[in-house]
Amino acid sequence: MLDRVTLGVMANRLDSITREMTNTMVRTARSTTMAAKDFSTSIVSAEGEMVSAPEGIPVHVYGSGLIAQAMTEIHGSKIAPGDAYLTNDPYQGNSHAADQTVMVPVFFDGEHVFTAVAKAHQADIGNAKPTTYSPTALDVYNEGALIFPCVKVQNNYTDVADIIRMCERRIRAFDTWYGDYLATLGAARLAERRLQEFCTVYGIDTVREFIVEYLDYCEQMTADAIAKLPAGRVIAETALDPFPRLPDGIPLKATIDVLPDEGRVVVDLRDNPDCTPTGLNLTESTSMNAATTAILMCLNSDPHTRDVIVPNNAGCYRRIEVLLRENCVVGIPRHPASASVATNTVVDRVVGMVLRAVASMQEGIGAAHPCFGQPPYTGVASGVDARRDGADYVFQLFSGTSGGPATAHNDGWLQFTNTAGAGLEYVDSTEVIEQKYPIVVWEKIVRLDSEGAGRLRGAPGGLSVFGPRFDPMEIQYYLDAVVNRSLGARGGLMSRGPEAWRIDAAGVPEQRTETVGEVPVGVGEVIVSRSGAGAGYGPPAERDPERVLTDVIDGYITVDRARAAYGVVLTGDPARWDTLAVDVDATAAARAAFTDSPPDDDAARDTTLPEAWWLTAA
Amino acid sequence: MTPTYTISVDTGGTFTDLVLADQDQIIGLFKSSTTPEDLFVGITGAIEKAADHVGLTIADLLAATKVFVYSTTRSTNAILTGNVAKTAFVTTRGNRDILLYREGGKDQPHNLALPFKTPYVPRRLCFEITERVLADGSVAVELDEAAARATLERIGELEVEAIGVCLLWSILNPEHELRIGELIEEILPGVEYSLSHQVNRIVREYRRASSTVIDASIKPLMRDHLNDLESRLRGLGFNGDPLMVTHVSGGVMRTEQMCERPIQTVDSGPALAPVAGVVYAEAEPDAKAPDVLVVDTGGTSFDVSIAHEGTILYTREKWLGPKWYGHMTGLPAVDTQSLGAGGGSIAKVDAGGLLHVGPESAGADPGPVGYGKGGTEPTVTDAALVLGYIDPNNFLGGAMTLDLEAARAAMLEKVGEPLGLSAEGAAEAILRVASESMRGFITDMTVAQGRDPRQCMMIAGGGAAGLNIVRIARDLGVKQIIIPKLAAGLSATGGQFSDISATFSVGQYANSAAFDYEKVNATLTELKTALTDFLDHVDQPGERKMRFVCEARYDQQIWEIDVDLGEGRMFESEDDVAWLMERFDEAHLNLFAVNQPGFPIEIVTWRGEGRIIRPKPALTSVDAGDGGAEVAAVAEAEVSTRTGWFGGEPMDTAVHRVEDMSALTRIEGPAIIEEPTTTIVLDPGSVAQVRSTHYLVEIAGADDAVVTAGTVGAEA
Repeated sequence: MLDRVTLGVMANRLDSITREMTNTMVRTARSTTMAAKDFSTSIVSAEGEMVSAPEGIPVHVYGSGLIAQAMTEIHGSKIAPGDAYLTNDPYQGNSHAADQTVMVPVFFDGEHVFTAVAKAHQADIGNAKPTTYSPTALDVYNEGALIFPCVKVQNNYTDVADIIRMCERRIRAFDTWYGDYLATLGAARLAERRLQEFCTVYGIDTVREFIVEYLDYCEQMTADAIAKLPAGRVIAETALDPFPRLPDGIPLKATIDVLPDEGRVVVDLRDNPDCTPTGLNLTESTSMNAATTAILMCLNSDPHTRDVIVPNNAGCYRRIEVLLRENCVVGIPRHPASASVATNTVVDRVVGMVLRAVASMQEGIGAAHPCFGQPPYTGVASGVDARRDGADYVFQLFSGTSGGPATAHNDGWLQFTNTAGAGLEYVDSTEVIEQKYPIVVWEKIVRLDSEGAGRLRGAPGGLSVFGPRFDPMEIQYYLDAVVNRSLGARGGLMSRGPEAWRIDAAGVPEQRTETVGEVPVGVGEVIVSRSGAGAGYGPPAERDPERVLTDVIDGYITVDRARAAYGVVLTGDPARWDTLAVDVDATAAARAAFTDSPPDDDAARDTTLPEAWWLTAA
Repeated sequence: MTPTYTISVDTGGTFTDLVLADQDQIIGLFKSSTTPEDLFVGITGAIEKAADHVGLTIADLLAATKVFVYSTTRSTNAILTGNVAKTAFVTTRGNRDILLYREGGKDQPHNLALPFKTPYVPRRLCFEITERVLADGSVAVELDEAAARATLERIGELEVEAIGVCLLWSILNPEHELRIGELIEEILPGVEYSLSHQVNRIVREYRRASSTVIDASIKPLMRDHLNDLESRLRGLGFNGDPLMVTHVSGGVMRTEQMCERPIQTVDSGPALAPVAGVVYAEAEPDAKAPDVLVVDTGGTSFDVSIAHEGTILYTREKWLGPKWYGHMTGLPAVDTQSLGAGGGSIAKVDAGGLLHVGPESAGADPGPVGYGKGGTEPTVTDAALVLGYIDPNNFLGGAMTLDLEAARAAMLEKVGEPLGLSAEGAAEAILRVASESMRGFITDMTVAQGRDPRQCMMIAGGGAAGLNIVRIARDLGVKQIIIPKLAAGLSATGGQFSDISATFSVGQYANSAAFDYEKVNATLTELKTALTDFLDHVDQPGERKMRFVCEARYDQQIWEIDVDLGEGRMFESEDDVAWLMERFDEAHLNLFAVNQPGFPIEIVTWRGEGRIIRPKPALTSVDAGDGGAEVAAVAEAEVSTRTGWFGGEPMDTAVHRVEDMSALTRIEGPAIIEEPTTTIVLDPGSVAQVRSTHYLVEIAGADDAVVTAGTVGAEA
């Protein structure tokens, strides 16, 4: 048995290699999507157990083990040093078709020891429409993505040119794709060299022993953390908003058994609808991941430490059992069901409902619902660029934020985007976006009065306003939580859902009510994206009045909302924050009145649209 | 003849370091406790020690001093503790949250409970002005002057002391920013302000805005501090050149210039360490590697920087505080990165039985258990004590006596028993884990800069550097380490070797596929004019140099890398563009191991650096032993031994003290060298050559990097 010190040193070294992969990818990224960190890196053992993924996007890395297993199943003993495999197969372990993954089998002394996995959400994958998210796709044919089921893309360290040529014919903005492919491959190859050094230093026997014992250690850490949770069964339920071809939306359910004595959690996701004729179906990896991520978030949420309590790898997965069935919208999709948007929407709903259900078990754990959907600020924009002789462009915006859920310990994280990314993503620089693409981002700020109220409140959503400069553009996005809104936990209130508006060249606003937006935006017009906020945790009447005052002073909520939603009465001039103070007696009275008439979720929200100041053109 | 002195002072968090040199050589390092309430007290304390050493009064020493180089953590500390001017942020309408959002990102994906990061200026003091310039510099919305006036009046009502103004695309068209500057002077006379296109003319609004508000927020205090220091020094008799203040690029500027751009002083101390490192590497006749890795270890932080073939590497991503959670300065700066690890890092065993060292630190108070000041958690220093690396009776040259038994007891209780190890086994484990995190940190940084540690020689500075530097170096495959005798004052030493310099940037876009020769050449000419102006306004003698760099990326790539343009090339023809593209391809390959030759590139920013090469002293006189250099004192050789533990085994370990050694001795590990301000542990297999100015440690077997990977025997 390895001593614990060596075990820790070796684990740190693997994490250090994974971070090196991450740094390489960020710095060499070609697309905004990849530069925003919609990618992940991990190291998997030859047996297909994920060992290291310290900063991976949660929704990405669960499947690393599944796809590495698929690689060995398909190619078996033919796998050789110098190979690299490309996969995005939603039916065999990958997250969704847009996440193209390069796997490099790492050999040492002729033996396959590790697989280095680098996964990146590509800016285009040859879909029928110019977007990598096709929620309305009937099936994989209609979606149109090029699917690579663990295809060999490098032989003896050289590209299989046939594959690259196929991509050149079918992928828009091929140069961007190829640049991002190179960045992904470069990261996996870097890990290959580092892992070979790792094996040289420690010797192959120690490395094999390490893999076994380190995963056992992580399993034990998980068991110990679960032992602190309350025992019991809890049912989580939620429903996706009505959707094209799904007039009732998608009702979702999970049965969670927390077994602290056994150090195990079982999440049963089998009682969910069959696969739908949409792109919303989850893949096996994203279904497993949704439940696992929620439990890991419950175990790791601690305001006082930036250390990881339970590491995310195959050791911890042994203690979080997820039950799935085939042909289920949250399960294992059956070809040709589309899983185009398997990394958000339904996955966010599943994570959110499990977090909230755990919160219902006991004070101090879990979280409220986060924001949902993919509003225009993080939609896919396309058009032509007059500055580049009318060349096509297509890219995903990250020009704004959505709100994270309140937890038992803190207000929600302000830059959440979605649960699958958990706030890891970067936010666009407006100047860089305007330099690269013919659009103007007029506003990118916090959305006033949008938060879910609570003792701890959800983070507010964002307000983004943008439009084309020289030629019309199109923006693709979709909304969720407009009808079935994000719910608070333990007495916390609902947050605002997302909205999309188009304001025309005369300044006249029009709300876009479609769930799936494919909205043309003309020159002089803008899209207004109001994103969802996180919901609250605990009754708002218990929120510290000074924190409510601070929220008013910093412009997150209005004076009226402070009173109506939190029962905090302020004195002074609302237009001059330096004059504001809490009226203690009036606050006590207002809060006492909440006992008989609790505050409405949307009490006194200011919902005024921004004035079209950008039209006062020079 | 009366010597002409140069004094360089580095005021750190704990100590104020002073290095004194005359016109020929470095005379010595003098340390005094830093006095945060009035830094001048600590500075004069150090001056007094230096004056004593050369047999002069303070007044006489200062009167004979021509150049005074000052490096301070005053601004950094003010920022980290929030003791800066009450600052407002003024920006383009729709962009109030630039400072709140930063560039997004976090770590810990599964921790939902972290408090959101605090913006540099609270949202209540962030104000929008109606105006908009677009990416080509054209005005889309005119400045609403009436509204701007009202906003400034409101800012005045809030008793703001400083204002940072950053408007979108002011780098291409600064008219609106300049107008707001005029309005501030008219409406709020006496309020300090900074305009973003003047502070940091780069694309990316967060970085520029952050530079600007940081600059504005420290203007009042740095102006007072620097002017006060200079006038008090002059009051004591200093009659030399204008006070030279160090900046983040490892050079110096006159007080007067620094008062206008105080952000340049932020984190400038660590930037001097590699300046010294390069000098030591050049002074070592047997140096083999082309690159230099400089590590500076204090009680709580481990700072790393790199030089490639004599050029110190820069970064554009300088964070004050932790990445993502702190604030970016946005300026090009010497790439010094800091790991929160040092002698004070605390060791603890987690529930699963894994040992962690840091990031919590016992600091200087209560400090390690061995200090006997109430510390109960074992630290790296305690581990070194238990392993016999530190003599409890001769710590810091005998300045402090350590409690070995208390350290052993804590070691055994907190780490040994949970892991089934003896006290020595536990101590060895702590050093291994601490060394591994330092190794990982260095690896991350060298990779980010595209350098290979095996191609580096290491320069180790700081009081705690010598404890585990040999094992870290061996693990990295580094074959040679220089440990300066002035290791405990590496930054102050660097101050003696810094040049007068300034960097200017212009964010002018260009694309190799449709190269705008006129605009690019106009940009380069503009930079040259600014540099010439800077160089002409410095009175000091010395060779004048200019160097140009552009920040470029492949067409549509997101992040840029630096491409060196040499001393002032203009772009006349396609050949010049092809030359630039080749330089870029090469740089990209070096950094990331992949490139795409022939693919178009975009240039986003152009930079020029002007430098006046100051006369430099020798590290020490060739004729060492004449009493000139403090470190060269010779006494009778007498070597004692004590038990040191290496790889879990007790070994008879020779202990060498500075006063015991004559120049050019060879010391083989296992051995311990005790310097007055640092201790160097030589593991078995390493050999130290004693030079007059430093030790050169050579490591056998660093190539295969296997030695430290062995396991620690569990003794339970």
